[in-house]
Amino acid sequence: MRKKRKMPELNAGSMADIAFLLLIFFLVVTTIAEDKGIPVILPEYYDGPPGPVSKNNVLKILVNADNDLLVESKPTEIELMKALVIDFVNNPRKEKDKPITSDKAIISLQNDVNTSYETYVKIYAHIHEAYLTMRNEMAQVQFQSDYDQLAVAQKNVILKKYPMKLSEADPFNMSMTQ
Amino acid sequence: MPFKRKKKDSPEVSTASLPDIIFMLLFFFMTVTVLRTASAQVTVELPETASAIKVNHEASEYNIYLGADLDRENPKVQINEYLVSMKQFEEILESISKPLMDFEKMKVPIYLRVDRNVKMDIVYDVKLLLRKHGLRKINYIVKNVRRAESN
Repeated sequence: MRKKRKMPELNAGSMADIAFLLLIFFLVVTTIAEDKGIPVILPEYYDGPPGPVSKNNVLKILVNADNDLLVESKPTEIELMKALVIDFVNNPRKEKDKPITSDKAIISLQNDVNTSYETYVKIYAHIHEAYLTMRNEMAQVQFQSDYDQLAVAQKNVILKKYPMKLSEADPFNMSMTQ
Repeated sequence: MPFKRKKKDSPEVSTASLPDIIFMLLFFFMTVTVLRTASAQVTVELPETASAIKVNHEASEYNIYLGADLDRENPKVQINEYLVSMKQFEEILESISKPLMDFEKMKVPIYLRVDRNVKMDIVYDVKLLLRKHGLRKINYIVKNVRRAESN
């Protein structure tokens, strides 16, 4: 007797549904890793002696190996950096120990060899944000728009008044004593 | 009978292979979720800031990794897929920058992926080498977090 070949009964239709469901689940749940960062243009390499600067134009920031902050010899927290920078650069009360015009302001940052990168980036981010805020304010007052929306010529006007001049010195090789 | 009763036709295209195709697609998406050419060979935990902006990746970029377990005496730097010593790192920078004009060097994007606990002396040395070779367009890659207070 010829054995009847029994076809295996498998309803393939619902398997496709399950597969589709799993696929859609993974499509939705997968995130493409998006990088975020702080863009910086490093200053040119310069090996010579530093140029003359007036002491009142420089905001001295010192960071020690324990990631403690000293701004103009006063201990501070990173969170207060932005306000301090804005106050220094704008000099609203026309104090003698701050720059006369905002374009002359220089922020000087001195780290210890053992300062952590995280602290450095946070400080940089706060200084950067301070300048973005000041530039935005001027953009609103002068051009009634956000700084990002301005034309290049208008941005240059603002950049002339608020250039971010950051001077980073070689890291210290000893921990700071108070 | 004028009409022939249509026999129920079995579908000519066998749908049994359809789930196989779907499973293949599924496994593809499960494995290819990180779209990066060179992955970090060192552990890097990025610092967190609140004001980072989205990075637009370009073709000829260089990713510099400084890992968590850095040896202070003989630090290893990873640039794209090469994990090298400082001296070799400088040679690589030299080979990148030599054929370029100054204005072209300014356009080469360099992404610094540094672990949050790396000390500043190594970072400073890397930045100094980049400056020496004119590769000044850098980007500190960080994790963006929402800060509680506004402004």
